[in-house]
Amino acid sequence: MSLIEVEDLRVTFPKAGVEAVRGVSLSIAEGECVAIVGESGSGKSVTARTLVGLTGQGATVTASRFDVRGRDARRFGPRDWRRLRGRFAGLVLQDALVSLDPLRTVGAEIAEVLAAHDVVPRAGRTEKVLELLDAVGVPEPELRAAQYPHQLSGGLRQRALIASAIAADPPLLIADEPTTALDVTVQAQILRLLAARRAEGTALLMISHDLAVVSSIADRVLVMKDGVVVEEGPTNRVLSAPERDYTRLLLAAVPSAASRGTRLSAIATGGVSLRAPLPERRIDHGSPVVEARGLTAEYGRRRVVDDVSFEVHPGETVGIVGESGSGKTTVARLVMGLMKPVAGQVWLDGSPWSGLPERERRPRRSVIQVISQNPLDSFDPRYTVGRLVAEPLGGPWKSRAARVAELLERVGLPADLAGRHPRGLSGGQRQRVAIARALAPRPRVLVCDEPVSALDVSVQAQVLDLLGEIQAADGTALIFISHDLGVVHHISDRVVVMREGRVVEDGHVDEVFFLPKHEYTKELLGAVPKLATTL
Amino acid sequence: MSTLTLTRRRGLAAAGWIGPVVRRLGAGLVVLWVAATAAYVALLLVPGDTVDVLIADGVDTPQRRAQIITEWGLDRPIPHQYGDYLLRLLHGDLGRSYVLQRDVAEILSSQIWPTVRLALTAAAFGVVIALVLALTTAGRRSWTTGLAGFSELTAASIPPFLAGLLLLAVFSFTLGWFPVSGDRGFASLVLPALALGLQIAGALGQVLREGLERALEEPFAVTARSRGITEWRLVARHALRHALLPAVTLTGWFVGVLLGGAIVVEAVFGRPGLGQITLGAVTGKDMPVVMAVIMFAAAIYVTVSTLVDLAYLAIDPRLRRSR
Repeated sequence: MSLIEVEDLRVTFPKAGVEAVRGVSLSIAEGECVAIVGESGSGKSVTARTLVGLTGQGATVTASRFDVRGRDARRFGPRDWRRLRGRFAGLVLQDALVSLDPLRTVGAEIAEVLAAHDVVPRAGRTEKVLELLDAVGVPEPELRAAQYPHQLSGGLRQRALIASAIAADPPLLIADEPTTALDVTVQAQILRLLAARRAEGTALLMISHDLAVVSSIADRVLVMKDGVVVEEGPTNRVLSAPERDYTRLLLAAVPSAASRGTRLSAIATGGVSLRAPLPERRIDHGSPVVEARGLTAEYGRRRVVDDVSFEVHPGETVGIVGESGSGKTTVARLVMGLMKPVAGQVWLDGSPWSGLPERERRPRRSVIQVISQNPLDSFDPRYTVGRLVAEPLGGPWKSRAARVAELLERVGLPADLAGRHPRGLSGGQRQRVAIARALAPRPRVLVCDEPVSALDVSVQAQVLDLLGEIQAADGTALIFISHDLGVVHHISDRVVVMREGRVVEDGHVDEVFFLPKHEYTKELLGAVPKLATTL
Repeated sequence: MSTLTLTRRRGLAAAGWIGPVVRRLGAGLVVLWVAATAAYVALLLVPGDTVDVLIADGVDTPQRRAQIITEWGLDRPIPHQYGDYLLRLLHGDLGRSYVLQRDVAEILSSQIWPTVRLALTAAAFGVVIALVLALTTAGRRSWTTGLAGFSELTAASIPPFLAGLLLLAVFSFTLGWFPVSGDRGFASLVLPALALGLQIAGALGQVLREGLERALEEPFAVTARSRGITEWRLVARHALRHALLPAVTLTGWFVGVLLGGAIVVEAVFGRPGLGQITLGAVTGKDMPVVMAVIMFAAAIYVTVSTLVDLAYLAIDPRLRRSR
C-alpha cells in the first residue's frame, strides 16, 4: 500500500490571491525516495507541508484523491492530523538554527515528540533521546542534549533536527531543503545520514532547488514550476534525457567545469539556444590590478586570516573558495580596505592601499566596488532604485538620470524601475540593481562576496552571464568569493582554496579542481554531489 | 543524567550568572550615586538660602536654624557637605523633614506598604489580564481577536485617573460593590489597582499577542507542529517564552506607570501611601522628603532593571555567555 496517494491537489491562498499548487498528483510507496525539484515559488514546499496538514492559515486545499495510508485525508480534522504528524511523517526543514526552538534545549525538542505520541514512558524519555542523538551520529549525546541550538555547529544541529523528526519512528520522512544552509562537506554527511535512514526502510520525500543533491538519493523526481508538475520520472531518465524545455533549462543553468565560457541562461536566437558562448574576455597579464601579500587579520585574539597572498589581473576572475569560517569574507574586507590587516599589505593599481589612512583611500575607492550576497541589506530602505544607483555618481542629481538609465539598461533592467523601492523587487532584480550600483563609478575591480548564493538557479545563471558580459566589455577584474565549487569553476580563471584562514592550494581552476594536490581540496571536491547529465 | 538536564539547567546556568549579576549591581550603585548627587545639586540650585529651603513651611526658630546648619554641615565648604551627605545616605539616614517634624526614613517606611500593596496588586491584575487576553486570542483570526485588540488599545490609552473616576462611577456610586475611598481590606484595593493595572494590561496584552503571533509564524513553530503537539502546547511551551522577551522590555515603562500612577490613583481614591507623601512634599516644597523620594524611585528602577536584565538571561540562553 502506498503511504501517500494524492491526485489533482490544489492549494490556494484566497486572501493573497495565490494559487500555490495547481493540480499536482503524487504517490509515495513504502521505502521509496521521491524528490520534488523547483525554484522558489514553484509550490514544492507548500505541496510537502500539505501532506502533513500544515499548509498554513487561510489556505484552501482540494484534491480528487488524498489518501494517507489508505485513509481519506480530506475528511481529517485537526486531531487526525496531529496523530499523523511525527508518528506517520517526520518533517525536516532547512537550517536547524531557526527550525529548532532557540530557547529550548535540543534534548527537550526531541523529547517533545516522544511525549506527544507516548513513544516511551516518561521515565525512559531521556535515555531514548540520547539513543536517538547517538543514532544520527551526534557525538557526546549527554552534553549535546543539554545544549541549545546555537551552541551546536550547523551539521550537529541538522542531525539533532533529524533525530527529532525520526523520534517516533515514522515510515515517511519529509525533508524540505535539508542541506541548503550547510557547507558542502557537512551536506555530504547529512545526505549520507538520510540515505542510511532510507536503507533502513524509511520512505523519503526530498524537496530541493538543487538537482545535484536530489540526483544522488532519489528514485523518482518531480520537476515543479508555478504550482504544476512539469516533468516526472525516474531520476536518471529525467536528468539524462529531459523531455521538457523547462527541465532542460534548469539543467543547463547549473554551472560547472563543462559550462566555462558559455551562457548558463537560454537566449532566444530564433529558437531557444542553450549554452551559447559568452563574449571573449581578454586578460591583461601585465601588472596586477590587485595584489595581496601575506595578509593576516585577527578578530580580538583569534587569527581569521593567516598569510594570504594572491594577485588579480585586469579582466581576470580569481575565485576564493572555502567553507564557512574559512576567512573568505574577511579577505574581501581586507581587499576593500574596510579592515586593517595586522600584517601584510594590499596594493591597488600598483600603489599601496591597505595601510593608508581612509582620507587618502577615499578618492580611489571608485576603483574597487563590492557586490554582496544579500543586496537588500546593503540598500538604504528609503532610497529608490534610481537614487541607489545614482549615489556613487558625481555631479548634480539631475545630470545623473541619464547615466542611471544607461546603467539599468546595461544590467538588463527596465528604466522605469528607477522610481521603485528595492523591497518590491525580486531577488534577481535586486542583485542586478546592486551590480548597476557597483558599476556606476566605473570600477576596475569587483569584489563579489557570494553574489548568487541566495538566488534560484535560473536567476543565478542570468546574473553569472551578466557578470561575464560586463567583464568582457570593460576588462573588469573579479574577485569571486563562493562556497559553491561549481559556480567558481564556471566563472574563475584562477582559484584560491582557503581553510581556517590559510590558503591550502591555489592555481589555475582546472588544475586545482581536476588535479587537487591538497587533502582538503580533495575532500571538498569529493563532497560535492555530482549531477549526471549529458547537457 | 536525569530528565532534569533536558529541561532545566540551573546548575550550569549559575556558573555563568555571577559575572553579569556583579556587573549590573556595580552599575546600579553608580546610578544611585548619580541620583543622590542630582538631588543634592537640585537642593543647592533652589533659589534662596539653603536653610530657608530646608525649613520650607516648617516652624522657623533660631534653635532650629542652628540645628539644620549642624545636621547638614552648612557652615562648612560644599565638597565637605556633599561628602557628609553621601556618608549619611550610606548609613540609611535620609535626613529629617522640618515640615512634618519627623525623620524622612520613618515617614517613608510608614507609608511604603500601602503603595507597594497597590502597585503589586495592580501589576498582578495587569499581567493576568494581559496573559489571558493574549493566550486566548493569539493566532486565531476571529472577531474575538479584533475585540481583544480594540479593548487593549482603549485600556492602554486611558490614563489611570480617568480609569479611576470611571470605575468609581460604575462600581461604587452606581452598583455600590466597592468602597469609594480609604484603605480597609482587599475590597478597597480592587478599584484603585484596576485603575492602575488597566493601562498595563492594555499595552502588555498587545505586545504579548504580537510576540506570540510572530513566534507562531517562525520555522521552529512549523517543526513543533510537525511533531504532532497540540496548538495549546505549542503556545505554552514554545511561543510564550518568545513573546515574553519583548514584554519584559516593557517592565521599565511599567514601573514608571505604577510609580507615577500611584500618586494620582491614591489621590483619586483617598488612599494613604507614598503618592500622598510625594504630592504633599512637592506642593509644600519639603526638600528632604522630595530628595528621599528621588532616591527611592532611583533604587526601584535600579532593582527592576537589574531583575529585567537577569530575566533576559533566564529566558534567552543565547544571551548567556557561550561556553
